[in-house]
Amino acid sequence: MTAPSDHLIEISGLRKSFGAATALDGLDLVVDRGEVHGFLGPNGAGKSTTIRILLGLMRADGGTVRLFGGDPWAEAVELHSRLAYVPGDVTLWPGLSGGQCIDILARAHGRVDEGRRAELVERFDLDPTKRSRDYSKGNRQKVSLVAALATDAELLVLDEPTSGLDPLMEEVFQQVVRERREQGTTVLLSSHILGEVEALADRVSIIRAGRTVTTGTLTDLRRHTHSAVRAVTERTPALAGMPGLGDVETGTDEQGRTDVTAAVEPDAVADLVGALHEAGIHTLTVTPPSLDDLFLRAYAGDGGTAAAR
Amino acid sequence: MSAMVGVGPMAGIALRTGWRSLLAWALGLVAVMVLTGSSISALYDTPEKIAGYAETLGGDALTAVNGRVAGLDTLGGVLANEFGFVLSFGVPVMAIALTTRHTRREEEAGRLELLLAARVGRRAPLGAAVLVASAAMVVTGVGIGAAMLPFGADPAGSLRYGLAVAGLGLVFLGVTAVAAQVVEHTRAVWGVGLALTLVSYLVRGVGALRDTALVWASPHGWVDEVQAFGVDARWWPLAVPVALWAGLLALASVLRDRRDVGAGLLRPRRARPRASAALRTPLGLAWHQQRTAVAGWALGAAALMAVFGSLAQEIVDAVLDNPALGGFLGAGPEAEGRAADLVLAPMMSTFLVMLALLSTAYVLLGVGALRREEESSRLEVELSASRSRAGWLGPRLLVLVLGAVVVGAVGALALGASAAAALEDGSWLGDVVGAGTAQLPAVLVFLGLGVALFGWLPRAQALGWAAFAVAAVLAYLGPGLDLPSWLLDLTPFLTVGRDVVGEGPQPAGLVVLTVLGLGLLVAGFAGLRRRDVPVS
Repeated sequence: MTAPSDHLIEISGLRKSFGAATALDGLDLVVDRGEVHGFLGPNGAGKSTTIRILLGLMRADGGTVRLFGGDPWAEAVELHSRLAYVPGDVTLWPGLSGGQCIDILARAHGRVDEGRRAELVERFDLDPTKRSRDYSKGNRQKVSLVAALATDAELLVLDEPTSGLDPLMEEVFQQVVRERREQGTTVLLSSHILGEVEALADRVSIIRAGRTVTTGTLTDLRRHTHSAVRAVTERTPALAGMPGLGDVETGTDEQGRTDVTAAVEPDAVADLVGALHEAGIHTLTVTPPSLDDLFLRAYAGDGGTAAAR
Repeated sequence: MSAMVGVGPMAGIALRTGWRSLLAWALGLVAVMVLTGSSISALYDTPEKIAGYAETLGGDALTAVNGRVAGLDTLGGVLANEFGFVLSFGVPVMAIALTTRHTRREEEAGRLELLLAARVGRRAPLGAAVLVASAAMVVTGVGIGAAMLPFGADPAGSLRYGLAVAGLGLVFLGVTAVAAQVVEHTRAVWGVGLALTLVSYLVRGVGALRDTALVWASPHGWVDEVQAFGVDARWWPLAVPVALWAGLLALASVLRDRRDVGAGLLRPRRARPRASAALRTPLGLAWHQQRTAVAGWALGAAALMAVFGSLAQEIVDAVLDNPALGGFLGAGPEAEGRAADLVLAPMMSTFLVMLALLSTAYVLLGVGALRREEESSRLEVELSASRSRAGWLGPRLLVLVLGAVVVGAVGALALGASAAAALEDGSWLGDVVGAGTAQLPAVLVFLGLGVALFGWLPRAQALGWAAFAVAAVLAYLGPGLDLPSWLLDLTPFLTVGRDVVGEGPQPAGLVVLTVLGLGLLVAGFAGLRRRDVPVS
């Protein structure tokens, strides 16, 4: 457990409703200094509302929110000097060029590193002389990203920052975030693009309907989840009654070998491999769960309908 | 004609998404005519009184404002004259609003692209927009004509008048349809439409006052030339706007074929890659966003007021030529002085009320821009920086106040200077500018109202415009219609006095309006400080 002073963000029991609609229903979120924290959830789960409360844009109905140890509603201005924010979709000032928008946003965020600004414009392949209303969605998003990433903020709050970016730019984005992390920047990355979170995040929190479903490192989360096993053995393995094993399916291939697929808990892998070895392993693959599996599992309670990508 | 496939469904969409604003415009304009009719028919309840209308001050002197309306000795003619100013701007603005709504605005939002990818021909969206808007204009025109009937206006004359009104709308509908092809953004379409409305109105005003053929150069003039209620009433001038409407629509269709979806015929220029130091400050950014609007409104106000002012001598001459008034005022230089005091000062006060209406419209548009900052997420990003909400709103309001002062000052200077030049009497400049300053608190009240709504009821911005529309109609028509005095006092543009140029502003009114305006502003700040951002 890290010391409290290392929690840049500490949210517990957060509640917020808009009229009759409940957006947040007891949400918890802790982000430690220096980590990239993935904040996952389907559309409408409450990610943006959480971020807006965290930034003091909206007032919470209940629960506690601490940002850098302070109250984001009361001390918004002081706290904001230490962070930069990228919203999911911002319509830039229509009459201004992309370059002018970057300068205005970056100046609002705080101290700008001119060298880094030029480098980011180059790396994101952005034409700064185009008027912002003539930009595509992806290019608008690049403007917001460059403006935030060019500052030396301690905390980057990114709300679905890569929507509209092509795979090449997505790759550039991931590189830049990794560089910033090595320099000690903390990142809260809200997303529903699981590959991106898997590639970047040290820890993730998965939320559903305004509540935190699970939180931890990817390794932690995987430890509680089944790996997929696929094996071909010479003889039929003795798997009946083995604990920690599920979804067992066996068949016979044309050479008379046994084809086995199963889902196995992390603690039961050794026993399973032992049993397969007894039966004479021909081929064996053990696939750890992807974040998609974790995510879908977190939503299994909803019959899978809430799991949106 | 595969380019027109899908006109029916497109018109259905236009009606489905736009019926509220369509109905609001039509009912609003008809309601103003009903209000005018009920008051005028009560005021002029005998043929003798109606016959006397032309002899009163309202007749000749306001020709520059209302046009040369025929048949002022009939009730219909009186109604048409009283409705003249509302018609001059209300109908073209309605045409611009309805046409942009379903052409360039849809295209800019990307919705048109979605529909054109379906079984919808290239010209169908334009065709549908024009179809719906044209039908709305004709219905509104006929509705305005019909609204005159219960008060006893001549039926044939009412129909002629209604169709002439519709014709004015059709012309500006065509103008907007063409502009929507040429320029790429809704704002620019509005700019072109409003500028041409102003030019047409001014040309008619000069032509009408001097009674020359110049009126034929203006679509506004064509309404008068039908002479709906005059002895020489005629139908054929109605063909002129209809022919121009058809020609403009044909032009718009051809232009539509020569450009890509989403683009205009004029290509956007490249912009500067870096923001200047000034632009990076909140105040600099606020000014950058408002400067085009300030320049446009100031230019429009200056043109309108300069033309009105330059007609001052002709207004005095017209009054002196009036047999009824000329005898009353006597002859010689003293008579001119008396005419100026009696007629010109109230006229100038009325022009200044119009100017205040222009400043207020600018201010309310500016408050609407605050809401767009919020809807576009830009407010969110700016507030996520080290900037308080007051620190965001303050500079923007400062720019709006500055803009309103610029529009008001430029307009008052143009009116005062041109009147002083025309009358060869420099004292008018000071009198007019002084009285113009007294209208600023009324503008402040509406700024305060808009900001208070932004702070507390951000979704209800339309209330500000509704209050403005009511106040504008009362301020313009109220004094002539003999409405109760307390109601006129409650109209911010009349609170400081009915004839501010002649009688000077009432200090109590100035104080009340200023305090009210500032109070509303403070309330707006307080509301923004405590509310969620964004409220969608």
